[in-house]
Amino acid sequence: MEIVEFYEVTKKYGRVEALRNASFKIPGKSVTALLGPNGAGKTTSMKLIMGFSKPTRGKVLVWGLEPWRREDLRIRLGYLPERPIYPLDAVVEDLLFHLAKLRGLGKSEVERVIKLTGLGDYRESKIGSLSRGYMQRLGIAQSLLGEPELLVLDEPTANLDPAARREVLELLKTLHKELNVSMIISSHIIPELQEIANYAVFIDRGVILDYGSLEDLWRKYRVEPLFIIETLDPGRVAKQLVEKPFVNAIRKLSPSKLEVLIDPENYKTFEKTVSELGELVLNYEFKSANLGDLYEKITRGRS
Amino acid sequence: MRRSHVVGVKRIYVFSSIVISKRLLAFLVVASLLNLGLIYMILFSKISIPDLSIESIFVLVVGLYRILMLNYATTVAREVKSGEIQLYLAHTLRRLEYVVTTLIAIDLLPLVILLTPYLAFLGVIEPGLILRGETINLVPLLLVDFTICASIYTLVASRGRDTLLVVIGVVMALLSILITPLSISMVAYGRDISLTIGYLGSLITSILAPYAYSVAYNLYAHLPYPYQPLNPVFSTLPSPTIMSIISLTTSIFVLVATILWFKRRDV
Repeated sequence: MEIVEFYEVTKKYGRVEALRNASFKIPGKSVTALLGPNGAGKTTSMKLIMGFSKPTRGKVLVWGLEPWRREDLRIRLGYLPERPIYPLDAVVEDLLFHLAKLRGLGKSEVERVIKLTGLGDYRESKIGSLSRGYMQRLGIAQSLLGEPELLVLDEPTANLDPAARREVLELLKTLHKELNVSMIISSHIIPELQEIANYAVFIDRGVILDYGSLEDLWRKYRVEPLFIIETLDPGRVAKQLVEKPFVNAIRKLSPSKLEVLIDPENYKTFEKTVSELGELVLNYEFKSANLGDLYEKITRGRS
Repeated sequence: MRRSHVVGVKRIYVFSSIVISKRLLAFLVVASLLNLGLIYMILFSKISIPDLSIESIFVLVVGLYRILMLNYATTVAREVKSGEIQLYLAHTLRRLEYVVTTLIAIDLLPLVILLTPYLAFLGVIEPGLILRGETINLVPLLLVDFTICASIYTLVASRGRDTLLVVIGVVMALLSILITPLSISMVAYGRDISLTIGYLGSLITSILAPYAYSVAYNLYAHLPYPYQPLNPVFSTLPSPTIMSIISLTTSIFVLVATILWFKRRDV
């Protein structure tokens, strides 16, 4: 079932069209990457999902309801704004407690999100004293209050240094695994969400370029999916895999790791083949193909 | 999910406490200083002299409170301007509740604080004055005065116009302290153009500064020994009671317009 649906949505700010006839759908239990350069219309889309803005034309539905009209929908949503908009002189724990109270929740919920986001050491710090990385953790913590069914995260890694960006992405991955919550994450850094997303919406200058599950998009645009295989005997695994017609390339990353590029249409067959290798394979991970390559192919296809 | 149009009283209470806790110390320090001055004047001035009545003292204080009310109005305006409002709306606060909370922070808190020395005053005056209602009529007038001011501030704050708000705040204070008494005196004793300007000014200030209008009007209307006869046109000025009702109606209209507009605006 779709959780978010856009039907020919146009959003104008004065004479500027931030979104133009945008139509796409996002299924439940997915981690969706909303990807596009700066000014593409990502924040506008997120504000429409949250019901902060009203579409100029068209219809936005979240769980089949219009968020603009149904303010009660927001109890099921968690939101991380693009810019840190928190009162800087407030204390971390106090702000979270105030926001929890708005949702009718108590201290225990604040404790839960502080623990989940690793803010324990900073609970009594003033928000203004936090580093940007921890400010984002606070943003994610407040978005988790009330165990929302859908997290709408607007550029969670924007303006972070590489280490902090890595930390935030790891945190999001962990949260998705532990809470099994649907997420929509926007980013203008196209490849960074490839480890976490399984669905994508590509947007540029207010126009939806394409959307769908990454598996379908790899196939559609013939971008080679990439697997990392961990094994005690890379030589033997490589020998067995190289014979398969859908394996395009194999590269040794380390004494125990192989990178395997496969034909996009044989994703499932490949997974079956790997599982048939039994104990020879310690672990395997779908790294996905490069989202950047996919984006490039999609934009090239449009132009 | 059950659709509910009911305003969340609990959410308004919680959010009011969040808003009020911001800059509370600064607000209380200024309000306390003002109130101490007010208490001093009430207790030690000769309030029997007509032009230094308790009502006249309150005209000055109300004017200063109009500036003090900017404290929370500008806080809200900055919240709207910076996008901080999204944080609260994302946590289930509804737009209507946001406007109501804004009004509470701008209007009710200062009113309650201002009325504290007034209540102290009631404790020391002759009980007969209270029983005759000669002093208690101040309360509804103050409520009307604060409400028109707060409704205008709420309208501007909800648009995120913090600089404009400060300008309007200063104008509202001047209306109360200076322009209203001046306009009424021009109606009472002015000639030709000054009379016309004074009359127009009185009509405007009677709505925008109903408390000051009421005090100034009553001061001239009940002067025991006017040093010169009042202009006959003075008697055609609308009564303060009627203008207070019009002022309150205007406040309600401004608030309804603010709510309707705010429910449609992007945040």
